[in-house]
Amino acid sequence: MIPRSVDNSNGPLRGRTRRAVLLEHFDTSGTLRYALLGALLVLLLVLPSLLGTNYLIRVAVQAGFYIILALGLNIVVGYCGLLDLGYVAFYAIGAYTYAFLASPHFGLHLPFWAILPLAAAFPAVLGVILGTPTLRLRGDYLAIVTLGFGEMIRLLLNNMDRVTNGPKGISNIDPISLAGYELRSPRQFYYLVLFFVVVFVLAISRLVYSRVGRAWAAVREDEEAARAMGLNTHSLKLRAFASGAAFAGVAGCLFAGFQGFASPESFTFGESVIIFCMITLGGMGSIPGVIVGAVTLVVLPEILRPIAEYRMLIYGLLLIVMMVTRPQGLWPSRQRSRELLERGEA
Amino acid sequence: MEIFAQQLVNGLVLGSLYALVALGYTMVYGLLQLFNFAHGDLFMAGGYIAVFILSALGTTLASPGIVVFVVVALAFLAAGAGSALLGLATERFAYRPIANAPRIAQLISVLGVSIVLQNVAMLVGGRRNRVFPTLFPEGKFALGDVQITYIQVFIIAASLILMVGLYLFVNRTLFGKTILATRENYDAARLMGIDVRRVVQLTFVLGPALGGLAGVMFGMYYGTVFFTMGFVSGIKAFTAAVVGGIGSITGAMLGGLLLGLLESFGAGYLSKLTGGLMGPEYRDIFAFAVLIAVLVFKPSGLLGERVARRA
Amino acid sequence: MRTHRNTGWRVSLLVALLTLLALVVVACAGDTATTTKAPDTSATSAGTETTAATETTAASTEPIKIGFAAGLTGNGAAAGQDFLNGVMLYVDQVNAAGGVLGRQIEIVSEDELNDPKNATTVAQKLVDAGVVAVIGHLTSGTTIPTLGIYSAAGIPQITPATNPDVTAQGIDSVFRVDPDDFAQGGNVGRYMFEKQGAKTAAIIHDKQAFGQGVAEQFQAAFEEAGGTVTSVNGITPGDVDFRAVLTKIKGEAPDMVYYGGVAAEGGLVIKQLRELGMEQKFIGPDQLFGPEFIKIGGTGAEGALVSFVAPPLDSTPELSKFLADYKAAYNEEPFVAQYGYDSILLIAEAIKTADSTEGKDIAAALHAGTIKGILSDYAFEENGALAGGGVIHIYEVKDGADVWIDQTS
Repeated sequence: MIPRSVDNSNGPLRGRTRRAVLLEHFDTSGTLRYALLGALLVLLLVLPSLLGTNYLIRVAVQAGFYIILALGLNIVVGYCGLLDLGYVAFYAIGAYTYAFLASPHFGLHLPFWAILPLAAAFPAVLGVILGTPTLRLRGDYLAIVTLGFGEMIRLLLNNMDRVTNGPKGISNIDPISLAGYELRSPRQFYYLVLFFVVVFVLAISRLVYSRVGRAWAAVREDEEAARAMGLNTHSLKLRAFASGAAFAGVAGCLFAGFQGFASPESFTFGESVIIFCMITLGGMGSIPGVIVGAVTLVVLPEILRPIAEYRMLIYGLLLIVMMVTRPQGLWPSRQRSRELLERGEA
Repeated sequence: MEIFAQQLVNGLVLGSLYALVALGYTMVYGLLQLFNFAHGDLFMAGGYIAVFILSALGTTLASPGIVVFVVVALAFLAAGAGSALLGLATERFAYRPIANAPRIAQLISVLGVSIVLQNVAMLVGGRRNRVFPTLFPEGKFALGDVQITYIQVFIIAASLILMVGLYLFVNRTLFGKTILATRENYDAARLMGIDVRRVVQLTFVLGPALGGLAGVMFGMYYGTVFFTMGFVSGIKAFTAAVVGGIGSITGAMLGGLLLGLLESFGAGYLSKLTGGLMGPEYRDIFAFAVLIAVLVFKPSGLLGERVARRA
Repeated sequence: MRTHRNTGWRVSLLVALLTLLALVVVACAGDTATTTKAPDTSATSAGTETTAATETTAASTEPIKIGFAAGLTGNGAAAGQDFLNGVMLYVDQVNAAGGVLGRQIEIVSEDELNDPKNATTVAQKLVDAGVVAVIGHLTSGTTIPTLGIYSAAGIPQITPATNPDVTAQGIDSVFRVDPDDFAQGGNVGRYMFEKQGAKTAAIIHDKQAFGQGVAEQFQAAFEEAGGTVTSVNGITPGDVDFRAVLTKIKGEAPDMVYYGGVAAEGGLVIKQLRELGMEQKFIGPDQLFGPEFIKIGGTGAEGALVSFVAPPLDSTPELSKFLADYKAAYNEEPFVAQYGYDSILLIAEAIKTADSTEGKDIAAALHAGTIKGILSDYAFEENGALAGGGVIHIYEVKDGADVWIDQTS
């Protein structure tokens, strides 16, 4: 299968598709790309003023949470190729970590900056514990195991009410305060979330091209070959799993601090499915892709409130249609689309 | 002792239902190494189809016996056929186009089917639990202090017959043997002239058909169906299939019964065993824990064929 | 493959620093933090944000906007819809008679799909929409997270959510129009011991906010009265097979079984209980009232007892009239609509008494006196609970319908 961009004809396109030419142009003019990113950043900074109402800003904050979640799941599924259906469990653990340590529930009121690393660490550790025996399994077995794990965590949170207050959830969670300022309004919170999103996007885009990132790509494409080349695939998979979990933990921590309330109801399998939809729709393995997917699937339900009943149905159809027609997503990474489409022609 | 016997009966009935559904999972997995997410919802679909038909006909136990019998038989037939058709549609639209794609795409696709089925059921049948009309004589035997209702007997018997039927079909008929052959070696089977596409379709028909029938039995036994009934039952049935040995039909049957018994006894005795720390509500957690444990320590299950760890 | 030139990191760092700077600038120049003692949900809008309910409409002919929130689609939609219908019945009647203070009432209704996450979003929406008071939400799980949002905006909130936590937060603008779980569970506990002669009880609950809450109250009161609880068992909502648990309870041979939870599981529990040959008395809380429990329970539901906060709909002339009006308007029987009716009635009456649509005036009027509604006379304690605790009514399922047999206080 010869990639189309390396053809030997001599016309103006030189055997490449017009799209490939355009993208190449984007690649070489780094300044153009950074200028666009800069403009985007400015737009994001003034977004709350543009949106106006608290309600819309809240939606933006929600989108922020889901972007972080999608980025995290993207590492696990998109980069490393592990099918994790219980991702929401890590989100829950992050949220409950904050809830335990900053609310009247146990009477602890630790500051945000102290809890944040814990909210990232606990899910990561749990991810390693879960992953060590199970990441050796084949893809579909892993999917079921993670699904079971996700459900188990939710049920445990619900049943162990002496510890977690069960279905009643933990309320009156402290708002997040930074250097003395309590973040109480959605507008203030928006900037905090924006900060995290930007930092994470930068970190992850660096990660893809790092040694670890490329090792993940090798594992994803052909695990046997990767192992034959000397990569410790098990440790790599664990690292992907744990990293993804850490991201979810941070998102959960922010969520709890924003919502002021945490209950097992927010962490169902349906949530895992939604996050999955986001990265599927946007494009697995592609950062702009998953961001687009996340924003779309947060904004769309708000716009489609009148037909809220049909939302999950649409998501289900979306999954099928995307996989059958365009598995690489709306804004795919070039590498992944080659992978997914190539194999299709085998 | 009677309590133990009663739990045994409960467990057998539960297990029979799990076994029927597990068969569908194991057949598809044995052939395609695909965990058909949508299968549990095909079980649910069977229950719903039956409910719709029965509600529409409006028959009650007050009608003459022969009418009730015909109506119930009709419901079973429709449910089985309906689920089979849905299974076929799944294969045609959600699997075949991407049969050669990476596993992850196929899994996501059938996950999508599962969600679609659930939501269609919800939209058409309503969010609340649907009441399943009582069309089975409501009597019971009493063996000492143990109560066994007629319907429990029916379910155990019917499941047994169906399972034996499937076993004979697969192992004794020519058509059935093509399934075994294709499972052994897909390409070799194709070279031998077997129409493997038909085989795949057959798998997507038999499994769901049984699942649909189980769905009707579920409705009759519990008196209710609800659109999420495929989800947890599906995972448990898959657990059963894995426990028994994924890919093996007898394994699925055995696994189903085993899981049913395990769950019943677990729920019944868990609080005693843990000194009240964990009550019967931990039943599902228990089932999931079994699943994870089996997959980690003995993925080939009890009667499992040596399924390769890596695809 | 083209390798990525790694000078991007410098720009990345610059961008990150810029963002940090922006964040600091905005945080300092933006909204100042509040140090109010309002309940901690960081979703409150403070300072320069437009808070609702401060819309003093000088023109006194504009409609009075009152918010309504419940699950109108999705789980529990039937109850939510019924609740809304009750509200609208009153609104239609009052608007036809000229409205309140000469102004028409306009209900701004939002559907939160019975999801706590949605509830807060919806609450914010209602606040932004400028409502002067809110009726909602319907269930405890969805009401509790919204308490802070409405109270910080100064909007009084009327809810039938029975969880005691609703009125335990120290908010002076929330009002509950029915007895809480303490009463439902507690009164029933005493009742079963004293009046029904049950000495031992097994308890089942669904581990949800309501079910578990009410079961715990039952246990406390039952034991205090002198009874013994043989076991407390949890089940998972969504589950259908309870034979294992029931068989276990069968072995304990209690005099009665208490079920704390909703009709979907409650009906199955009673059905399987009887199928197992168990003949104990059975009682559950108000979620079991109504046709759903009876349908699901089938013949097993006969003889089961249900406690309900509302008196029968034909017990007083006001209720009978309400029933007739409701059936004429909606062509079905109400089951929680009467609370919707009384909720909006309370707000309307409070507005009339206070002669204002300011949130704090409405709240003050509600606290001040006694208002007569169709279900009872409403007087509220400081925390918003019904004064006097309330009366619980006991019904028995006879011939497929709930028949009133007793009441307890």
